[in-house]
Amino acid sequence: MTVPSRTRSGEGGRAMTVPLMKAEGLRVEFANRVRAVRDVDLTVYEGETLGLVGESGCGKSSLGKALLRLIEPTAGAVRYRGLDITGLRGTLLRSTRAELQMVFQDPFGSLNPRRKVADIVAEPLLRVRGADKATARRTAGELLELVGLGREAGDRRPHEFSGGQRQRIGIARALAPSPRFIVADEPVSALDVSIQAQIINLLADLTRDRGLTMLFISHDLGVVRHVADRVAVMYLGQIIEIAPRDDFFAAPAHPYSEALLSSVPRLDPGPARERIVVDGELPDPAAPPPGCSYHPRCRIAVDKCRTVEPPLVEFRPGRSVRCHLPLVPLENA
Amino acid sequence: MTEPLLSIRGLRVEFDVPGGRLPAVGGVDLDLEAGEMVAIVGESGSGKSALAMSLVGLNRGPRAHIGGTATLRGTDLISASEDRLRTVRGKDVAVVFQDALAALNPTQKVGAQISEMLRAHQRISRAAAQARSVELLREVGIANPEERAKAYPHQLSGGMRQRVMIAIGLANEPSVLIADEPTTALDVTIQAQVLRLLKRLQADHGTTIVLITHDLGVVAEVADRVAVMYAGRIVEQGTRDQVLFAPQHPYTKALLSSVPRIDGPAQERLPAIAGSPLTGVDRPPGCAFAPRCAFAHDACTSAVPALTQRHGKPGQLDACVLGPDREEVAVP
Repeated sequence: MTVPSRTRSGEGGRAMTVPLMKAEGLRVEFANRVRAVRDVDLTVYEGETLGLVGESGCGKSSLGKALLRLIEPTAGAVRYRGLDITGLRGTLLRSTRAELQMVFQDPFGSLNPRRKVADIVAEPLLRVRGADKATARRTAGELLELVGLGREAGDRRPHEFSGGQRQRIGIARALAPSPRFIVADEPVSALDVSIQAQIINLLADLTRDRGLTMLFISHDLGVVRHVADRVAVMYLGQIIEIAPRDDFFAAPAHPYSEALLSSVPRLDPGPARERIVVDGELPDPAAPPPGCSYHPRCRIAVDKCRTVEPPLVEFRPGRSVRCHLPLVPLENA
Repeated sequence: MTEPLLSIRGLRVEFDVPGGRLPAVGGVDLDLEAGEMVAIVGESGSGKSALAMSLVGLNRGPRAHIGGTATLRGTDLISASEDRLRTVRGKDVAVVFQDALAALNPTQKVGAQISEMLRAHQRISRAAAQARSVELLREVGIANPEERAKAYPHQLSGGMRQRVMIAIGLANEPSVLIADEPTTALDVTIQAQVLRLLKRLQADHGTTIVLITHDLGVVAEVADRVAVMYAGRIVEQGTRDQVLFAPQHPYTKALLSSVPRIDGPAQERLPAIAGSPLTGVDRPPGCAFAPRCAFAHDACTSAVPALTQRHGKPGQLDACVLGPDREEVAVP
């Protein structure tokens, strides 16, 4: 049984054990035969924020988009509240999609420059919720207040806003159809650090106050540490570790997780740290290495790692790792 | 006291934009000593790149107004002619850009691009330049340099392209290497490799490196000294330890505390800085950070505070008029 340990939202009294979104054997392949997502099993529990981390090309964005059916998986199932949504069509697809929304990295590229902000935010209400114009506009105004821009912002156009303000517009638009599940794909990566903190706090407030469940995709481990209840790490299309936030940052179980954490430049006084610098680069995702995909860069790989692919194993409640030689002692009987 | 290698005085960069003149750099004084790595830190629009690019004449143009001086071994880089600058650029001062794919010529093999830079400033044969190119690729940590020299930029990964950029920058052993966000586009494991490379080059060649970055973690890893820019001016400068671990300016303090860190106590709320930086053509009198500063009072809005030693240790300068007891007068 996978029960996340006590988490931020859990402290409010609600235990987060109800799966809201589930990927089962999910696979995404592109025309060039690149397998971006390789048979991923992943559960996001109601009310939690799951941080999905990894380097560029690891498949984290593809996985996030496949969960929302913004790209079609080639195999496997996506279960939203128990229902496999990979085959949905028509009205049922539309109404389900309203509950699943996305916040993008580039708030400028994803906002129509010719439209007024109020119309941009109201659009999903009209389109997927079938709201009437007056209601949609009123709700848009309320959402713009909620994200800290104020109603007046609705009469202006996206280019009149700074990057941080545009991300607030993107968030208001995602909230418009009252979603339950949000995929936020690098939502603060394009922002300056002083603005980034504002948006991180806003997302934390919104997920708490509205009981939202979020998959937070980021390459920035510092950001993930501040927003996520649990962390999942991807490497070459596979999930290689899942852990509660504090456990992950205190003692990662996978050598790749360890290397990622060790590579993050730290604000420590004194001389530079001895760190584990990973040599080499990400292998070609079209031809992943045999055995464990990470073995060519791994500091502790043995023969078995070069031939036998390790499964993702839950080695203690809430902690899973895909490694023959995990760095954290196993506790299972 | 030894003469600084590069001495910047009263540097101003303004651009004509619709609606007026944008003061990108509003008067900067900065000295670089030979062999040190100085980080210029700031958020977008702080003027850090405009400052660096004016040192190599890369932002000259009909809409640019550049004033002040930047003296490198007797040559003022700001007033130097374009012809004079051409002999300086790449030889005495080289630049490594963030986006290596855009900065490299897509139609030319990377080895040839390094050779070209060598032959632009040195009288050496084609064969010697080729051999030296391979050597440079090896030095920046590229495996199979003979093979890689024959590759086109798009055939290399982002990390390798950035190494090629650094190899081009180093080709003529410049005394100053300007690295403009050199690791921002790279993944964190590759960033660690490139930072280690820059640090090694500084040690092995005594190259003075100007690191332009927004990432305070990167600064902590590699910089010897730090200048923090806000709205076109340096608001604090000093050694890495002074600026990062005993900051004096409220902006430096606020910026440091808003960084989401992977160590230390996990805060549920990050201390954010309210509002956004000044980016328009109109600049109110006084300290540019005052509208966002938790400690601002009347004195802050009357005149621009000079960058001088006020609160910190010797060598640490800041541009804040508030007294050392400012915490006590803070209005939350």
